[in-house]
Amino acid sequence: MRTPEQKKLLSEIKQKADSCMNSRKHANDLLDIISKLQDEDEITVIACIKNVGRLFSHYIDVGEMVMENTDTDDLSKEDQYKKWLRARYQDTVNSLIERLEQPNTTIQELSISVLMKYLTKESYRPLNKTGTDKAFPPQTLFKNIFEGLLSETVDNQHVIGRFQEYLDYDDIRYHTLKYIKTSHNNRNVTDVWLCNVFCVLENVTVPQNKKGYKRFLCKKPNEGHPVYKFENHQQAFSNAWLEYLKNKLSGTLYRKVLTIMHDKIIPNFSSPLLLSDFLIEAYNVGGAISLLALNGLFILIQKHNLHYPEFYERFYALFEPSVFHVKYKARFFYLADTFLSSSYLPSYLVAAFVKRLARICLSAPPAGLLVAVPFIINMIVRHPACKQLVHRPDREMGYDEDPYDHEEPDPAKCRAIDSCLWELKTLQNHYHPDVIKLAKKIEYGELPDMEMYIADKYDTTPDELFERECNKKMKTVAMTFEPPKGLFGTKDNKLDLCWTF
Amino acid sequence: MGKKKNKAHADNVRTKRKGGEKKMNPFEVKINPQKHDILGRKLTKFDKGMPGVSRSKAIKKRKETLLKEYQLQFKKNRFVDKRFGENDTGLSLEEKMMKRYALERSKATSQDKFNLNEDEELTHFGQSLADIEKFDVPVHSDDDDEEDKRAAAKIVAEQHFGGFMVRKKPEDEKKSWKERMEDVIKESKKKKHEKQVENEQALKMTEELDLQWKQLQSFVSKGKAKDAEEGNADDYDMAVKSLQFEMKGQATDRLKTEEELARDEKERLEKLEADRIRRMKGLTEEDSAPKSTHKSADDLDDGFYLETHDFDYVSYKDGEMNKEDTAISKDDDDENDDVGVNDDDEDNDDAVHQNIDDDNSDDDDNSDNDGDDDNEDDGDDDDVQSEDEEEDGKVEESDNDSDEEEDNFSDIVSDNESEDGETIETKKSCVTMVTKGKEKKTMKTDEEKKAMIDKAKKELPYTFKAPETYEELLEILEDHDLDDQFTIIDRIRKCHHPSLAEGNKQKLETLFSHLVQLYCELFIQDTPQLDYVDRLITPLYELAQMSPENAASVVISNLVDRHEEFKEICQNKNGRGLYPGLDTIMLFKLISILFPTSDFRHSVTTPSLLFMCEILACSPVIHSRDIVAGLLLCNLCLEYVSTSKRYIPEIINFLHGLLFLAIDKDNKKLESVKPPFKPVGKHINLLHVTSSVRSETTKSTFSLSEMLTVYIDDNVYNNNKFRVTAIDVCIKLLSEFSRLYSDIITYNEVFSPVLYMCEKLPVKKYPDNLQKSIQEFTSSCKELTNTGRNALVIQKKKPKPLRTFEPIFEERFDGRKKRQGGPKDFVEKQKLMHKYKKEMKGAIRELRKDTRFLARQHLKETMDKDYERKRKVNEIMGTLANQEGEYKKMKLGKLPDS
Repeated sequence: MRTPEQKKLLSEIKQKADSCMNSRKHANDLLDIISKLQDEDEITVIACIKNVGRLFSHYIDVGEMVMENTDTDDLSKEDQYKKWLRARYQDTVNSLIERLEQPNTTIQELSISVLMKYLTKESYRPLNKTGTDKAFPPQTLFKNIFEGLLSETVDNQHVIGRFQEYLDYDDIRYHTLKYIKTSHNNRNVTDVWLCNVFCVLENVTVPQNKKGYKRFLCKKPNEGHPVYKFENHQQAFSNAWLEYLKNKLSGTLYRKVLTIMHDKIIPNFSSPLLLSDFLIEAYNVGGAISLLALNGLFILIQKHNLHYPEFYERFYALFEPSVFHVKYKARFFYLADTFLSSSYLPSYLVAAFVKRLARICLSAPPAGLLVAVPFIINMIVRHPACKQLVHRPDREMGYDEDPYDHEEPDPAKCRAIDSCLWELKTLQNHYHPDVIKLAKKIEYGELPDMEMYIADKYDTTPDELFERECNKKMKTVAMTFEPPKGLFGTKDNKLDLCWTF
Repeated sequence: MGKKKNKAHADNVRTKRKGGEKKMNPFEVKINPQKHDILGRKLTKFDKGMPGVSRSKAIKKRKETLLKEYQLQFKKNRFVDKRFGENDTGLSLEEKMMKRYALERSKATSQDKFNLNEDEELTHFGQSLADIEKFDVPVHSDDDDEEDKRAAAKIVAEQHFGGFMVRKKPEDEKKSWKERMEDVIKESKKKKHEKQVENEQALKMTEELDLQWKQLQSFVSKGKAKDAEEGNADDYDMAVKSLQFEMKGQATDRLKTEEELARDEKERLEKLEADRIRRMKGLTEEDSAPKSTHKSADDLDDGFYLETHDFDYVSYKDGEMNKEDTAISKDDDDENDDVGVNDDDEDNDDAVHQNIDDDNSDDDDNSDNDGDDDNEDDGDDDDVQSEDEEEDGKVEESDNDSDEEEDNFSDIVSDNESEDGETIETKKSCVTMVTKGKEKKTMKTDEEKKAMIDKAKKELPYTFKAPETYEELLEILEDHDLDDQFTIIDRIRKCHHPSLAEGNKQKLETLFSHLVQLYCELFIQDTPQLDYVDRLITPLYELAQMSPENAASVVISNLVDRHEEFKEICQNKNGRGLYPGLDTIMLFKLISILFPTSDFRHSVTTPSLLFMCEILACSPVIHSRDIVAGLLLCNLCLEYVSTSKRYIPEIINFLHGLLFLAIDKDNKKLESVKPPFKPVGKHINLLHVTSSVRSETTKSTFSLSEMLTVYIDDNVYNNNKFRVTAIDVCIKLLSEFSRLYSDIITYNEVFSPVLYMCEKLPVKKYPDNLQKSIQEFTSSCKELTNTGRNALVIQKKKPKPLRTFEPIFEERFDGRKKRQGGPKDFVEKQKLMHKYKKEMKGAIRELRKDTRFLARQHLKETMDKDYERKRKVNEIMGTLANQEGEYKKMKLGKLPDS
């Protein structure tokens, strides 16, 4: 609740702003308001920001700060006043930029919107009648805002989220991208700064508009300005990202970039092949990062003719027991399904993948098996040549051991096609009843004619399995029939093997 | 005459509905004759019909509705309200009603003008008064009725109708009407009084007489012994009669001998075991039941079928025939290991023997379960208990104040829930909150104990209220020693046996849930009360047997709660879990005791196994306690799958990971381990033995009560002794699993990483016995890995027998087409479709009839019109002819005239 003093203060601020606006006599009240911007009390600050925003917008509108020439020493009183006013304006802008880093989100949001308002107003009525600033958008102010926004020390995610709506304006977007590209040279690159930049870049998309852009926040520049052209936007986007990706990114940031790579970055790039270095490097890291890089890489190969001869070998190496435990399990299986979808793939290759997957299934949790086993069966259905993995009637004498070589990194040499999927046979005895049912599909009459739809199961978690099992309604509950004699007193008891009371 | 007629007319209104039987014209009935009589089929409504009647009914209905509509088709008329006084604003509603009523009355009277006196009929509650008069219900049933009547008659005769019925007395004429009436009243009152007095006198006299008789009776009774005898004879007769009607002593089963009892028990167990095996394979009851296969006429009924799978494979062992289940032998030949199956059978035999041995106690249990016992002696059971204890040879008394502990339980539980486990310190801190006196155990002699039990029994009441809440249960149990607590639980169960009263079952079900809670909480005290728990198992088991569904739901809800906790921890820790406390782990044990673990799918054991494996797969080992908890879970998993031999990848992963923790690490090369273990990190040397350990100092088993306490005492874990024991347990479990999984075809792939780790173990530092067991394990592993394997072949389908053309007989035929079963919504849809079709057909039929009716109507109208026209034409022609005739006549007449 506001105390009476606060109320009084607020009305005072408002009154002072009004009087400033009405006549130059009360110009000195401006100083009070600006000093209040640094106040501790948030409500006061908010009121100040509102009033300051109103006030200077008004000044810019009426051209109160416009000066003919600033160089001469002997200024008329009029010009002196204007110069003084301009200095106050600068103060205000600076303190508002400081406010961007404040924890209070309301103040942050208010500051950014006031600053953007100034930007718009200034572009229509530039402060200097001559000089560089006449061009769109007022460069100095723009730069100042961005320096505050993309702080090197404070994580500004929230304000950037608010700023995002300005990115819908074509001019702002274009200049933001340009700014990011150039700022790499003169900024101190820290993790926080990278994070902030990522937040901005993450939200930028270049809308396909070949006719030319029309949605401008600031004053429209003359015809022929690069801001009107789609190609220039794309170029700016590509440059900004390429410059950004040159930095050394932290693990989480790296993963974030890779996660949005396929649907946000690549489609907006002018020549996506420029990303191939970055992606191949990421792919070679191994583990989850490779998995994420895979997606982008695949798009490059598929749509942009990237030649990557070792792709399937690399992908083969990704089939590790850990895929069932990482967060990106669903993405992995989705991609695996995509990569192995072509029926032109050689059967030895598909067999190798299938066999390797079956092998890692031996140590997989049921949530993974419920995806992997139908996946294997789908592969067999899709590539009929692989059916010999489960059906080899011509081989009479049997095997001494599995001909498949698990350690061999090259799928062509691992001899999977000579092997059989005994792993599925083992899984027919798994402890989860649904896994058994799936694994039994390799029996006669069970092998489906069509592939099973499993895309909805990629995300299954162990918790879901447990809950599903708990919610199963059973008509009767079977009970044991031999009365126990104490904790260790049942027939099946095995605890006494290694445990005592 | 008129009266009677009228009455019948009035009662028609009331009795209209009752006699609905119409006389049928036999010529209207059409019977659809059936060719054959079919037993058990109800007469449908299509057997008999009256087409004429129904047609005329339909036509009549159409005339009322469709025809009206048709006639008014192009007419736009106004509805005029012609009710009397409706448009007269001057009249109120009541007046209107009155007028209408009067009008109605007058109309009614005008109908029978010539009916002079009986112009209207009086009714009471819709029943004609004439009827009531006829009933002649006597108003007074007393003796003085007639007299009253007579008096009344006299008055009537004298006073009514001007008294012209009797000749009046001269003095009466002088009195006025009022005086006369007073006289009448006086007279009647007087008469009444007299009557009353008379009655009273009679009563008095009877009583007196009775009294006198009683006095006299004693003298008379001797003389009248016969009478008394008659009274006795009644008793005798009754006795005889009752004996006559009493159930005759029926032939009972003779008491069974020991062997027979044992055989019965064996049979029962065998049946249950067969049932269990069936469930293990995931077959439903119908699947296993001998199918009534369709037989052709050529069937010789010799039990010979073409399908090969019906053969029973037979194997012999020790001269005994083993009858294996066909499904097992149907599998790959290699997989079918005789040893494994025989193992199973041996187990069975063991179980049977055990059961024979423990017949006595079993009997008790059984009788409890069957609900046969109503008044079993309480003391009896106690004796059994005490005997059990004597057998144990352990006498103990727990002086712990259970109340105090229990009060703290809630705190412990909540603390346990909140424990994050990031650091062990948090665990410790939560435990330190609990303060309690340690359990004292004192040895006593048998005599002392007996005396004590006797004393305690004297103190204990024999009935207890069934506890509604957990706190109530603790209240009941507090201040009693261990034995008494179980006696109390036993008595609660006895008092509330479901056969005794309605609602007892619910009470026992709540008791079960509280006991489960008690069971779990006993584990999370400073020193887990394992002896207590041990004895708690029996009541838990018996209660669970009584209502399996409830037991399952209670246990599942417990599991779900614990799983929620685990899930929350996982979410907070980025998908990594935490090993749960002893209570959760032992809940799994309880489940394995109460429910069969070998079922293909069981509503309790399947989720519980899933939960255990999830814990093992998701929780990283960051402390030695985790190792112990994990090993215990592994052991429980072993127990779960020991009969069904299901494959659990998580166990092998975990044990493999533990061995990894124990090996000497090479800094240059990263070992490949499976999640949740990591090849690097600060916890990878948890089981690494730093210096050699002598064999005397190590144990080969863990103690449940010491290793998984809520406290964490680092001294217990941070020594080589602990590590050696852990490795020992690990190897033991591995060899058990290796034996269990010796059948699986990919044994090599599963166990080769384990074997690899085993070879890297620093065995030289281990004591001799451990070295030996590792040696044994690796050699047996190697033996099993070298077996060859067959190529996978999809087996050929069994040939289908040719179809025969004999009719298929349904066993229970109810004369209706059977709806195909299916998913619920499908069936529902089918039903609706059927209904829709029926309705649609009916509607179309009706519409056709409507059109036909209209067409008929149309034709009729046209014909009428034509006829009318013809008639008119004829008429005109007639007149014209007449005219013509007359004219001609005139002409002719004139002509002759002229």
